Amino acid sequence: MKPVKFAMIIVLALTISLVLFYGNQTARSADKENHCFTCHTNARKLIKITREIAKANKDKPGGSAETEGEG
Amino acid sequence: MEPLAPHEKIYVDSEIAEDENHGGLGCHECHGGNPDDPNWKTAHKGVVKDPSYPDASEACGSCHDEIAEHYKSSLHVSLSPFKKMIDMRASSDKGVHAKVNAAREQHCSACHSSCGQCHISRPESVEGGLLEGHLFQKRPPMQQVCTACHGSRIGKEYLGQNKGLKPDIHKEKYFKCNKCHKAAEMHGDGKDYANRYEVENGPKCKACHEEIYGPKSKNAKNHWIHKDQVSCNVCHSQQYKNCYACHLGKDKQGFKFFKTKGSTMEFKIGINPLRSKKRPEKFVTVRHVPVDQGTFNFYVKDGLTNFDKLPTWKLATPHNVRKQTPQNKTCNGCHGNEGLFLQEKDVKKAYVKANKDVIVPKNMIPGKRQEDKVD
Repeated sequence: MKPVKFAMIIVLALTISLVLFYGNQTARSADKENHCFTCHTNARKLIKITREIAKANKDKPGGSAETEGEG
Repeated sequence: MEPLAPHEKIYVDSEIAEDENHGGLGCHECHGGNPDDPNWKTAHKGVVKDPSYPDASEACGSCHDEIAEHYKSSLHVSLSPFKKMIDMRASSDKGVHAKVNAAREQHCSACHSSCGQCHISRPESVEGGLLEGHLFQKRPPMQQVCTACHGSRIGKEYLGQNKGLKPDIHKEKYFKCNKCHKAAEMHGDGKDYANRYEVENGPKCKACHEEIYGPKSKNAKNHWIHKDQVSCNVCHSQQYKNCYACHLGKDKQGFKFFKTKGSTMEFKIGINPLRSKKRPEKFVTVRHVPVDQGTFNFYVKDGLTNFDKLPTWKLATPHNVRKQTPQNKTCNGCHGNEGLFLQEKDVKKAYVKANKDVIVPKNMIPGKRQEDKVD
């Protein structure tokens, strides 16, 4: 009985480690793919970044002030 | 239209992940960039803001191939009537013509749209910004997309934002633009039309109002009398905006600008310059467009030497339709009402020749009627 029990424990341990390994891999790859998504769905982060950009572009005019009338 | 804060323009609703058609796509599959890079500055290297412009065949066409096939013929993308009109007016001197073309490209062509700039974001020409957090909008929202561009004339007319004038009756019935302007018209059909009125799938009043000539119509007699004589707008539009003297240029910092010389609210009936089987009416409403012989003077002198080839008063379909208007209230609201008709005195002297085909000669203005009551 002992070798059977041992084999079962080995199989179980292997299964668990495989599940953990692939689960981790998937999580890692999901994490890898989601930098655009995680940032662009986070309003707080976007506010911070857009303020940074606005600060950097403070002295750059966005367009001509000479436009007059309706387009 | 409310402006968007900078972060609102690029905020993505996480709900997009649940979009059964687009949710499975990684951002980078359409926009490029590096999704693995946690540094936003380097991650955005190579990012394409609007992957559907100028070519939609990959980003949209891989699934929506039947629409993307004709994408480039959509007038919202090609703006080809603009080019055609300006080409006709431009100098035949090749060097001058090239300068006019370059200026047109820089200024006029900036107002195009694309798949993305109707269904995903506000158009770039009105500073962009994602619609509903990048959730795909099957029907573009009217005020954030359509009237965001077509605002100063069509938008204000339709929404009743011109002082003293009522909104379009269709607006009061909660019609959005796409009730009349269907996708088939917007998306192009592969044909290179000379102007928007030629587009085969354009709106037709009769598509909904066929009964106006029928026995059940309260006003069938008047509709029959005026059939093919006047366009629907001649009787059913209110005053509308006319713009003048657009001049283009660049400021000291190199930013482009335009200047238009004010606008007027008028109602003018002219001779139909695009009379055809499809538009057989003799009289139509005409609107002054902002073009001027000196529009391109900043870039090239005498750029539009053939200015007179086209009228500056053009066929128009003002979007402020009402059942009853001052000109259809009684027969003499229009008949004998000379002020409603575009006459030589209404046209800038230098442009009389350009408008000779739309100016209504005095003898063509219908005379006053003795019986003034509309049946």
